[in-house]
Amino acid sequence: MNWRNACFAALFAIPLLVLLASGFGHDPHAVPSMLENKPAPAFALKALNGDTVALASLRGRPVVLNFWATWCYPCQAEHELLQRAAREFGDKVHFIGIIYQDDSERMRAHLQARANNYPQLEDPASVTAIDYGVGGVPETFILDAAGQVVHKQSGVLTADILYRTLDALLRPHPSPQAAP
Amino acid sequence: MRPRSQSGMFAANRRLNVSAWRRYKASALILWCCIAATARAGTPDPPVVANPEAAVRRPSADADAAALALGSKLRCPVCQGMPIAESPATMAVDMMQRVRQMQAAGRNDAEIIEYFTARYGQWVLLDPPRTGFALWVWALPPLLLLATQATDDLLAAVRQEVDQ
Repeated sequence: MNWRNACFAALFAIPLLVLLASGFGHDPHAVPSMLENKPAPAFALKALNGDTVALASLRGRPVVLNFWATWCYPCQAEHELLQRAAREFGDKVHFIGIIYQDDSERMRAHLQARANNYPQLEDPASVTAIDYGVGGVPETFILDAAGQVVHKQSGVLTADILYRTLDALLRPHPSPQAAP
Repeated sequence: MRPRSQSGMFAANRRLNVSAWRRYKASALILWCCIAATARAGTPDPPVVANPEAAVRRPSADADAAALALGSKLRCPVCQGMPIAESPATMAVDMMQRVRQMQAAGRNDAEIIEYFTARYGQWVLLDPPRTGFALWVWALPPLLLLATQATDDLLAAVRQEVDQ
């Protein structure tokens, strides 16, 4: 092959390889996150204990919204982490579980045998799940004190992501006077 | 040095290959056009609701047909490339219910599609709009074919010059 043919081959092959490489880097079944840096959709849902929890009432503190189900094994592993974090952050952060396509009685029975430090909300007809663009569980949304989505986690949340994101949200912002 | 007769044989062989390659590319272009036209024909546009209030008064059979037409354009997030109108998954059934509720509330198809794309992105559309980056998916195959055809012609002209 002479150099001219090689140049023509490279002219077509390189963009094609770049295109394929970028395509193979994406999971075609992964639902993209569209709500990051946008206001979280409002909801007012009934908790398992009968109380109604509205997102608007949670303003002023960061919120961790976790969509999960008892039939989802990764959710159960994640549940331990969220319970521990809820204990550790205490009043500084609201933790909320939203039951995704699961039976309320089964969820109550499931929680009786485990620690539960925060409200678990029922979501009939997946209204809130659709509002949040949930494509499977577990999915977790971390909101700032103003109700803006700062992080969406599709799949199991790690301690590193959870603690790093919440620590950043709780860190006091430098006041304008402090700036030189 | 290669004998002249052998060089002529190679040139004839090259011309034959070039001709076959052109026929192949022309067939590929026609095939692509047919596939694109079939795909377009297979996904009819949902009915346009001129007056959103009319959607509320629409008879239930028509409303259901409109919901199914729109649901066939939206991808079920928990399935393997199935529209929500066809999937038995609970999530797809719930999304269809949301489509019906929104249509009954007078939201037109464009508004409903916007609602879902604002949450799931263009990913939720089984027939992405031919604008922006998605346009490249449709434009790239014929463009590549035309580019290879142009390169082929250029190379053939150069070879002809060299042979003469």
